[in-house]
Amino acid sequence: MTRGAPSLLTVENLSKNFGGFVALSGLSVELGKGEILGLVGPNGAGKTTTFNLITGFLSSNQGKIVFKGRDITRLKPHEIARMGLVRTFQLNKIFSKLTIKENIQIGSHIYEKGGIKRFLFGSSKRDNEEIEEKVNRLMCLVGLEAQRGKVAEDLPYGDQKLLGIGVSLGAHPSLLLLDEPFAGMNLVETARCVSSLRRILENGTTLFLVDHNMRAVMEFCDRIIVLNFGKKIAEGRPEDIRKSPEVVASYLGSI
Amino acid sequence: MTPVRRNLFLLSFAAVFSLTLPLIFKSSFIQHLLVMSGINIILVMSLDMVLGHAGLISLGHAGFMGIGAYTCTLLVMKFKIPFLGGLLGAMVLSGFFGALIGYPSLRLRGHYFVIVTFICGIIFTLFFTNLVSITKGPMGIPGIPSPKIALGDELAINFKSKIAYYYLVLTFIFLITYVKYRFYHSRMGRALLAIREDEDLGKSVGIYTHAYKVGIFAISTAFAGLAGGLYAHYMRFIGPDSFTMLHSFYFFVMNLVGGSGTIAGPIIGPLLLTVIDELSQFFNPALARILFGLSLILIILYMPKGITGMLQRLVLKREV
Amino acid sequence: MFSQVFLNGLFSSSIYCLVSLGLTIILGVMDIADFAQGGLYMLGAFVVFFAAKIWGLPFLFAVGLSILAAVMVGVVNNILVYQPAMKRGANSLIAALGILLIIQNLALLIFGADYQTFQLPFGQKNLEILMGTITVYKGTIVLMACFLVPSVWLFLQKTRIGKAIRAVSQNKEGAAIVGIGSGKVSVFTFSIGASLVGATGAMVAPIYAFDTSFGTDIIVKAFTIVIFGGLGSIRGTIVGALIIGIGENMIAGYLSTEYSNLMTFLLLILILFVRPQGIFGRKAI
Repeated sequence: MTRGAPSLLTVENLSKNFGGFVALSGLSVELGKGEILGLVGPNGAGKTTTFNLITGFLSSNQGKIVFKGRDITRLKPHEIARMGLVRTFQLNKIFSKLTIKENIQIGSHIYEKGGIKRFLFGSSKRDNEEIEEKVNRLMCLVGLEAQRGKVAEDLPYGDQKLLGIGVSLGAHPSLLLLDEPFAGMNLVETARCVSSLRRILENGTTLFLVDHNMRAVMEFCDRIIVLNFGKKIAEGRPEDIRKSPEVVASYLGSI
Repeated sequence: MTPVRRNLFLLSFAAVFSLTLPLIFKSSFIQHLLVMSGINIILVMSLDMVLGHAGLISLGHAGFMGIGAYTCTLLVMKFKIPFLGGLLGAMVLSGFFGALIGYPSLRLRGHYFVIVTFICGIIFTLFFTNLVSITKGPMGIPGIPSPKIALGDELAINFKSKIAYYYLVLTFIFLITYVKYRFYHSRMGRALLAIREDEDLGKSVGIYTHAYKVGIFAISTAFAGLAGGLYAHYMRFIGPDSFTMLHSFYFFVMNLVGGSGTIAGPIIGPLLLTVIDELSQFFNPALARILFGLSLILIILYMPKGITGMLQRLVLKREV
Repeated sequence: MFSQVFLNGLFSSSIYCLVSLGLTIILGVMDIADFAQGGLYMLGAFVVFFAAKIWGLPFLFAVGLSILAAVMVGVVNNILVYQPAMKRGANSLIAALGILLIIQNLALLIFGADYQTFQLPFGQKNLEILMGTITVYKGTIVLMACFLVPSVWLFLQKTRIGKAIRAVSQNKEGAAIVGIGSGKVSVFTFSIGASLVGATGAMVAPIYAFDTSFGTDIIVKAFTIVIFGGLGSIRGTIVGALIIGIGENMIAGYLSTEYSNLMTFLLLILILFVRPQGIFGRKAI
């Protein structure tokens, strides 16, 4: 579905196997700026593996990944993150003993000013104000301003997941990969999460997400890719996917 | 009193108290205890940089102390370099070896890094014993001069007496305490915290975790080297038996007993255990070692935050 | 010269293999680095010394007493220290070093600092094998190792308890569901390790002079072998023990003894960087 605009992320023929087990086979994806792409599939289909491969947490056996025109296939996770490609984790990761502010501050590490002078003598008042302002902005973006000052582990589960997203936003991602953002959330929390994601989208971040909550994914995403047994079995707009017999079969388990 | 004010008060009190200690205790033995504790405090503070801040266990720090000791000694005795220059050289070389060993081994998972440091400690001892042309082997190097720090052309301070050496060591302790304090309130410190709590999360937001780990390990070994240089010029004798696995283990116990990841811990732990260790020559050194082993096991099972952690809990209880 | 060095190497390998066997099982099954076994090794030597030389008991009986002593201490370690440590998530390596320190210094207080030696009245005849000599006693030990190691392997494969141990090592909760208590398995595994190590310490007591720090070197080597061969892999332990045992003796014979230790450690560092899970290790890093 080319629009003439250069794609933000291009995945070509990506494959990964663990010993004899083929986790992903020949996946190709194109993602343009401003799109919301969804990746779905039954358990074990290869969704998290795809994210791990794209973000450098796993190395691929075959294939190429291009982000913002650069080949990132062999880059390390922190290098990819610095280019603006950030991911969240399926088992939500936050710094549980720290406050929300400290969490997001660590998330903004690469944009925070450092150096020996600041190490020895502390940051200037202006530096601190800049950080404060940035953290506040991100807190509002994910919808956590009401919880400011609380320690991460004291937050309810839904807020912890929002915090996980907030930490990732600290790195100014152009593309945010969300691994099961709606997992374990009830209806209210899911709605809150969706509105946070819309705000993030408006803020200029492209979104690529994986989730099992089909309703949320169908409502929210522009385009959906369906994986099964490591292979792409369908791609298209939500209404087309809903009707596809292969997709239905893969979820129901018939051959 | 707010916690910040209280900590500041305690810190100032401790600083002033430490300055007056040798004037209160005139006994030569107690002054010796103070100096030895001070040197061990510097070492354990360096160890806590990796253990407390980055969550890495190093069981080879005595080896790095040894590298610093031998380097400083040789620079001063063979190459006639002034004392402070020798200390600097000791820090540079120890730090260099720390970076050299850390670079490949910090890629490995936690358990395996411990093993590498353990083996390195043993290998360093082998080198101290066998590179006889450099280290004079098992006989060690005697007759190390007491440090002289020159102030201009005519004047020089000679740190011959125990009191003078104590103040020398104390100066370094103040400096390192400040550096350690800065770790808690700096960007680098936050990155180390991220590495300790959840390394993958740190990587996912662009933190170059490997570089920070190697960096802090090298800084830590550099300060271990500093402690080694100070030790050499105090004891006036060093040999391979001064820097063994047992010493590495002791330092680790001191860190844990005091409480790792705090500022007070690496001061309390070494102070307490150095006193016990030095006193043990009067009754039975084997008993002291049994005590060390027992305290380690009790601490990791029942008081993982060490003495400092216990004190913090007591204070919190009273505030509630 | 070569066959002599090789025979010496075989003997060293047999000792290393026996000591490493318990270590690899314990490490593989319950993730505990039981360094304290160095103390049990020393205990085995001292008990056999007292029983056979001082009290004049028959040698085999004395070895049996050594095994008993080692098992008792090993089980105490397991119940008092290791199991609570695992429950609280404490580092077992550190705990083990603490226990080792305690055992060695308690022994120092009780037995004193002197080196002890004793000779066996039998087994001193030299056997000539392919231009090298080895005493009958040492040869017997090699044979015993060849017998014991496969027996332990068979035990783990075929008996009910052996299978229980393997079940716990693969999935603790699953094993618990079918009624295999990991606490009991833990104690039993430790007993196996302790008896192997205590017996070996007892058997080598007549060969080397020993003091209370007797086990330290060998437990470090055993640990190296276990990592080299792969945690939990008996095959790996055998291969590792052979390589290191024979390799050390080769280097000591043709170069110098200092370098033989260095070789072992450099080999360990190498394997940690090239293949951290060991030659036959199953668990991914």
